[in-house]
Amino acid sequence: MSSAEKLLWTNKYKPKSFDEIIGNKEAISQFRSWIEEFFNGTAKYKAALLWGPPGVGKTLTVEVASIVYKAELVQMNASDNRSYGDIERIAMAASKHFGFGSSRKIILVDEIDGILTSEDRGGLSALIKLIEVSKFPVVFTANDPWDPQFRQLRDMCLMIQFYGVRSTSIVGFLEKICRAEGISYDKEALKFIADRSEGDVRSAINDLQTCVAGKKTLKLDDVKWLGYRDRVTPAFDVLRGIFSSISCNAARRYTITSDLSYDELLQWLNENIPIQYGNVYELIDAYNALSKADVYLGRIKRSQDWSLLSYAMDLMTAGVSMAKREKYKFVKYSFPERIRLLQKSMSVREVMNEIALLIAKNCHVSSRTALSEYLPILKVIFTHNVNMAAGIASWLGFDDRMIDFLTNNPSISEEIKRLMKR
Amino acid sequence: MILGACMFRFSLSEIKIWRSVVDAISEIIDEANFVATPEGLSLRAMDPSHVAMVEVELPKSFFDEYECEENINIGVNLDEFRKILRRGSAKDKLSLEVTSDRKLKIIFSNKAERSFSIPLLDIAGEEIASPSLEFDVYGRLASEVFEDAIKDASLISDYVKISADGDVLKISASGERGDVEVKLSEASGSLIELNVKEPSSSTYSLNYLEDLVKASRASEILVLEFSTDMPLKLSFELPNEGRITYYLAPRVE
Repeated sequence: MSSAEKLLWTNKYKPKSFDEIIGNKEAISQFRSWIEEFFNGTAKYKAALLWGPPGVGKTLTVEVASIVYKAELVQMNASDNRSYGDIERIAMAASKHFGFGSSRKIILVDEIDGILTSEDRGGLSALIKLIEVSKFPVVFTANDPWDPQFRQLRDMCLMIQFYGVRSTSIVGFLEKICRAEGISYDKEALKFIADRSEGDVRSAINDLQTCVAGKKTLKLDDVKWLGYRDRVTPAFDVLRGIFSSISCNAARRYTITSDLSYDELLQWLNENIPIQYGNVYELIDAYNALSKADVYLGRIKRSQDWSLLSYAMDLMTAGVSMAKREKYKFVKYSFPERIRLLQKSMSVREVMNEIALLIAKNCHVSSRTALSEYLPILKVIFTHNVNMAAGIASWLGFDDRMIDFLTNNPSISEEIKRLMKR
Repeated sequence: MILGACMFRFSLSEIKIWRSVVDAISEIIDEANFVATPEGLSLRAMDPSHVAMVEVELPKSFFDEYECEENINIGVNLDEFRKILRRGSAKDKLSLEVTSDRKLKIIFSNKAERSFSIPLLDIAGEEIASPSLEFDVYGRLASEVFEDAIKDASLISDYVKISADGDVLKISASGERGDVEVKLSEASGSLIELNVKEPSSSTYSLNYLEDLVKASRASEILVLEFSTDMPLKLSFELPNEGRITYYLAPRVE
């Protein structure tokens, strides 16, 4: 830690035992029993993924675990480079060696959401390899691990969700800091900071330190200038936000803070409206708003007039939100089936498009025609007449993948490939 | 205090030896944090994967001149530092100074005096304790002999097994590409000294060892210590009581 970092209250008052961590008791005990199982050799998962909003104690829980279980902590932060090579050099190397002092080790890769946006695409496959080869527990943290690309990784990890910490608990922690620093405080001021942090303990502590700024007193006026900050919210929380809002403005605000694109949001809402709304009139109104948003999105695509987007967004957020007639109730949302299917069928669609392009080029038709009119006939030929199929395949230059797709039968494929070699 | 006043200073007539110290550290880390005390200059650092660790101890007597009144941290980017050091020639005398405005001055003096001034870094990093370890095997040998054995092993595999029993120290590797075995003993003249309290054997990664043995350029004699499934300790003795020590964690089988 550099000398400047040591002065930060988030470091100075960093908990050293599990009891000192505020909030998320259930997640912490889930994590503790997993890591104890791991060290006893009985754990089902080799890795854990701690996910939830920023500043609620995900990384901290792992750091405390390394103190409590006397394990060496090898950490890769978001600020480190995390290409395949870096992960191999640091995390994977660590996972294959004993430590110097302790025979236990925990490998932590922080904020893995960032790995997808980094330039080197190998990062994600390096993480999967890391879980496979590691002799020690591997822990990841993420704000939003629901990107479809993380699917394989999620299946390999014990998923542990962390929630925002209750405002009253944060106030208690801030009071403790103020007492330790000898600061006389206005409880209202601490409450303001805590409310504004929306469950983010780290930002609350940083705000407190900023507002105190060397003084020995803290009044409500010292903190009023803090505005509300925009933060990135995971998809589930965006939905929860939209469905639970009681005003149009509140509902609209959730899209500002999320990473979801408008068409992803449309899919999420489409899938989850019937889960949230039980009343038939609620359903009618919500889908009515959503379908109108879809109409706008269609017009935007055709006309490229993006000024219409704000109408679509209003209908999706405020429109869907205002459909409710009953009190908001807590339900479990599901991942959009359409996004899942598209992801799954992506390789098939790719092959089809490549075949269509080859046909289009050689037969002087559009690739759309090739797809709708030529492809079904090709499929029949490829399953019934291997000689003719081999001829067509060599003329159009189909590769093995394309032949396999058209026959959908390995033995026929082999026959065609054999004929083509002659 | 006068701004720009000198807070720490040393000089060395042999630039080569300082260069090899810096090279040895740079095999492990990118940024180094030297600690200067009135007694001498030292450094302890761990590579980011926590597999290798380096310890450098250079007492006051190591330097031709050494002045330090209070403890001071000297953080440098090793890449930059090495580039500057390469500009010195063998005949130059090297001086290093830290001034109160947190600058590091690197001075080459021969006929002309050339001086570089670079800002000091405030380096983040936890404090690392020196591992307190007891070893079952102690060996002294020419560093060249060890370097050759490591080079042999790296043709065959990614990791090497070091074992000692009785009066033989064995360095071996096996893999898909074949097998290699190097036998060293006092009797054959390849070891200067070998002490085995308990027969021991441990496996270490070659991509680290290959880097570490490069430090043998700084010293002709190497002390090697290890125990079964325990870290490997390699100490290189420098002239005038200076020392570079590496620790390398064993592989999990």
